[in-house]
Amino acid sequence: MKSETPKIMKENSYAHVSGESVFTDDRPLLPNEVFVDFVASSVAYGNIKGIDTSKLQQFPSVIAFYTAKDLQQNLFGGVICDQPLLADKQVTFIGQPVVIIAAKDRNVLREAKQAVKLEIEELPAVISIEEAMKSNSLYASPATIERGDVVAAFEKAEHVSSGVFTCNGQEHYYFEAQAAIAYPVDGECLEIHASTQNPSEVQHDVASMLGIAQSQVVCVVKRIGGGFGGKETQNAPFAQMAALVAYKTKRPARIVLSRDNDILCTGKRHPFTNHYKIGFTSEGQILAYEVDLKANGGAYADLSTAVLARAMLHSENTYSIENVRITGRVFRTNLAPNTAFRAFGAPQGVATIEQAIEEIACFLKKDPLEIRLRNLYGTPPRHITPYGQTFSNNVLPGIINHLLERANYQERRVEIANFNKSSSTHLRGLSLMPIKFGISFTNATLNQGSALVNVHQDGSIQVSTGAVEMGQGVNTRIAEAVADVFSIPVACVKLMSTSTEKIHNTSPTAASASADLNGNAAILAAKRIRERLAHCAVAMLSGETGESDLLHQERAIQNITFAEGFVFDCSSSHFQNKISFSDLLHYAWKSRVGLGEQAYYKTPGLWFDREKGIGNPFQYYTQGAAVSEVQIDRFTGQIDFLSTDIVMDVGESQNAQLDKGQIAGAFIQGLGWCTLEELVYSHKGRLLSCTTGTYKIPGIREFPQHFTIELFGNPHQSSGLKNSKGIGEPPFVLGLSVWIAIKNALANVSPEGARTLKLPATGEEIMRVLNLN
Amino acid sequence: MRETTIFYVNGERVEVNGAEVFLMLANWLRQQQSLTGTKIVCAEGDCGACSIMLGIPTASGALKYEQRNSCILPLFNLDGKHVVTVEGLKQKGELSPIQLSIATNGGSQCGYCTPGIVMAITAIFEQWPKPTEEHFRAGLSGNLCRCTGYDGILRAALAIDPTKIRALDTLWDLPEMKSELATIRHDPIAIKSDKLSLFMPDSLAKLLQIKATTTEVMVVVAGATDLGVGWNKGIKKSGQFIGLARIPELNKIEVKDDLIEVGANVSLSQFEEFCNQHIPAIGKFMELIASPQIKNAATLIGNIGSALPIGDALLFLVLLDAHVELTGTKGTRLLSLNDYLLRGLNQDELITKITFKRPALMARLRFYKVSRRRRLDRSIVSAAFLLEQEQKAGHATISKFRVAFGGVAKSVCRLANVETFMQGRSLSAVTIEEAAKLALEACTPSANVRGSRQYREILIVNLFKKFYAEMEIDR
Repeated sequence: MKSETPKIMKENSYAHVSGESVFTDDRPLLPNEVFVDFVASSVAYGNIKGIDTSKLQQFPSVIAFYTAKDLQQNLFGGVICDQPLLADKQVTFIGQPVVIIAAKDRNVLREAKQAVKLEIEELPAVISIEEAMKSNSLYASPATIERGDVVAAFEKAEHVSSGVFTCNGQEHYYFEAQAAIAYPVDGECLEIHASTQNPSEVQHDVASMLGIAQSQVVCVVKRIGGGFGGKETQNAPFAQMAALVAYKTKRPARIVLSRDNDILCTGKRHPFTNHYKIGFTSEGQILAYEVDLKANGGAYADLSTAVLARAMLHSENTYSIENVRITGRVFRTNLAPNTAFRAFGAPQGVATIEQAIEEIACFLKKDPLEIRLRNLYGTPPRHITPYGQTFSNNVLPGIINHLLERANYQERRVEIANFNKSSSTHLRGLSLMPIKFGISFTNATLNQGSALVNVHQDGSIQVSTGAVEMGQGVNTRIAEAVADVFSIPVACVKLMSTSTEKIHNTSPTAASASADLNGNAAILAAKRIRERLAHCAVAMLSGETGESDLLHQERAIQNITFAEGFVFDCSSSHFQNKISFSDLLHYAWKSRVGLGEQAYYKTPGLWFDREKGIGNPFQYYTQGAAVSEVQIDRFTGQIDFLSTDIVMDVGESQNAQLDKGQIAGAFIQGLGWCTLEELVYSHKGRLLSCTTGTYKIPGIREFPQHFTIELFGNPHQSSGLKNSKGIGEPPFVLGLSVWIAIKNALANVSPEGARTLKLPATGEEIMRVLNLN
Repeated sequence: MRETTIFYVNGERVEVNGAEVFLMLANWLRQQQSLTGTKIVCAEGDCGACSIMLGIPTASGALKYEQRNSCILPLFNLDGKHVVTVEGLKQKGELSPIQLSIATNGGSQCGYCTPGIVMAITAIFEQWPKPTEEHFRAGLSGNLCRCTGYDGILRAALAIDPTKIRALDTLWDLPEMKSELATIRHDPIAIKSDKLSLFMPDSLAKLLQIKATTTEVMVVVAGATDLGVGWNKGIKKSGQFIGLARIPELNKIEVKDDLIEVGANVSLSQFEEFCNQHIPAIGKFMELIASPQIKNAATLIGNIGSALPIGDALLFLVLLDAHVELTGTKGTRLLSLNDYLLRGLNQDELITKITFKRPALMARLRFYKVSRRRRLDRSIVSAAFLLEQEQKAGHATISKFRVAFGGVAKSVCRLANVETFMQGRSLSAVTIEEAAKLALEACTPSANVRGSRQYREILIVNLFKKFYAEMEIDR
């Protein structure tokens, strides 16, 4: 065994750069494999009057087609069970599947789909929140979080300002489109390889759709080419389609969505319209904040109520406000069902109060930073959130102070003011915004993880967990944690495919918590094996043959040490009496000591009462702040992303490269949502920007000219995996720093106009504001 | 005429014929060669995930490698060339220094864009011995990544030791391959299948003859970038195609005094390189257009042939009074680009050249492209201005003013009313405001997914103001 520690990098990086990493559609075709696609509604809302499939007979390659009546169960949904796999009586969004088609030749599917005629009686569709408010069609009852007495506080406040924040949705644009392959096994079972963040959901939904037992279905996920929340619930329908075809035709069945179809028919980040009212003193102290969040949920419930909950739980962001009232509703519309997307509602909640703070600063003619600092969470009693959770381990003041210095904030503010006075062609803006992001699923049930650790005789280890590797590096994080338990090189630990036959009841890989949940389970399992090995080591060092029932004897194992691939008794005078890890394993195996272990972990202390709006929904908070500077072309509204500096608390970072990778990636995704990415719908609910040519995610020219990330040292706090903190989502919210910098720039020309800036702040939106003046 | 397409993939010889030559390289690699490292993400040349390196034989026998989008690259355009995919970079089990740097410096997260990123950086090192951050930003502008935010990619690119890079021509120094490619690269080709046929004649005369003797419409094809997108998006795959690649005179850019002549098969990259040397203002604008991969495949004249309202290359050609040379059975004729855009060409003709006069040294040129994303995006509105002034009685007076707009009418257009108005006046905020008003009258912008009519109207006026502001700053 090698004793030198190799450089720790992301597992599979080598296979990624050589093109050898296998994604779902990279799996070799089997000779009898068939291709699956679906006919979708081209109408946003209507009654199905007829489905004419007669022309499919003209395609010899088409071997089967299915409609709703072919399904044993046709309603699904993790929170509210309301979404049909195949539309039956009504269609409720454009792109909704109606007929599944299977063909031997994939090139025939496009024409075959067109040959199916859907007769739909069109009904008036509801597209926007404003339209939906008229009919007041809601998912679940409105929710409220309240603390203090806002009514009394508004009466006392010197100043009261109110406004509205509106934002558009966002397309995930994971690079690997939705895909799944289902293989029939022994006639009555299925093995499904899917590009999903949620293997157990695929397993369960497939089983119930077919009316078979969950034990007849295995879902395997090697890796996925990006998810960002878009594959938390929304891969399952496509996996079900492949499964249905495989189960009925007894052939392997593959579905891979075209990019355009994927964008068209899958759900997005939720558009929100939030009305707020804020009361404050002349010094900028916030006395009361009232916000009414309204989310566009789309055609089915999906995760919308949970998204709204997180938006509400982040509505005060980093500010201690004594009197708060947060209300929220999710409206039913005729868009594709909106779903999870990195940061899961938090950005929409945070953006609203950040907008309100910019307005306070503008009104009081103060630096917005002053308002932010004055209201920042602090020492008791300024440490209780609106939902009653104590904000402990608050490192925000330290982060902000450090960032101010690092980014040279005060000097640059002066420079920018001078620039704006002198430039006839451009405007510049600067922002500093903090973030506090709660880690844990707000649905407490999901905060569980599990892992299977198998130690092989040569000292290499295979680990399976419920987490899905999608580029975030969760496999590396877990491998590092397990290697550390045995003090062996991380290269000795291999993370295996996520498979529901090894780990069941997997929570989706989401909520920035998967390394915590599954990594902690893996550590538990590894530690149990290590304890057994310690017994073996005592026996081996004392010269026992290892034939007796080793684990049933009392032994002092506390001095057995695992270090650098060796095991020894650190109290012994015979220090050099080391056993190599692999010799010990061989000894353990011969002594009939189990070298595999499955363990289970749940986050302690979580609860949340949705009715009362109080609880302890989060295990801890990841914190950070960003300073961003933008330059706007006064004539075109085009933005130059000049500079961003981020300081982020990740607890005790276990892998700085991965942490920084998550921060940069999430930030740029946030920047995209705030500036470039625009979902344009026709008045009939058709998504017009449903191609790569029309929906623009950031390119390398949008990556700021100056960009730095610093991890804020915050050790010794018991929190996530090995005292690190979840980092997948929080930095997304910092993308808003760019949007606020744009507001800041625009306020130079039109303070009133800047208030109305919508999100995304496209060139067109910026010119609209500039022209208000 | 040869009835097959011959090319090499990672050093292996391939010969295909019939309908197969009309497949897109990315699909063919993945589905028929089990080379699944190459990914398809957008299938329209808009993300770079499918990038491969294409080695093209040069007169010296060496291969010159450039990056291409394999999702819109039909096999027939590979004839006589060497395709290197991501699988072809690893040599004797060793990753290339580029691959190694991306793997170890956080340049890859989910891995789906990674093969394309590897190829793009490989291409940058083929072009520049010691690339700077600006070279990387420009060279990677055709590749999107949704995970890394580009931080890790740039970091990885900048960490590569240029002295460790081996050029692809030396890495794949296979004498047999090179000698075969050198021999076959001029072969005329004729390929037929049920619904499709392709001719690649080796002279213009033969091309015209084939075109004249065929009753059906023959579609002229060069880089096939539009064709590829169309086929991927469901346009019926049928018809007769005639390729320009084998006709030497169409591959040239010639300068005759002040006249610049660009052949019909000259790629946007070739043209950009030429402009960087001879007309830097246009070279700079070319950097904003499309992506390196697209520009290596697409041709300047293809941009005219498709004549979209926002054809970015059309903008400066229209501004500079370019003429198209049309060649048909009855000979050649020159037509102003404007007339061409209005009237098109006869069925027996094709565009063989575009010609324009190099702008005068004293002329001040400005090109603007307003798009949502700064690269790899279509224009919402684009504009080009040319200004020449002379001193008259101590005043700078406009002796020549030209303005062209894209995205504000059915095609890229010149604003004759504005040009006439500006003639003989002196440049001032007042004249510019008047000119912008006239421009609004002349344009007929409409709304589409990229922008509203109102935004386009604002841009028409503001681009005049921007031009004026820049002229004032420069003074």
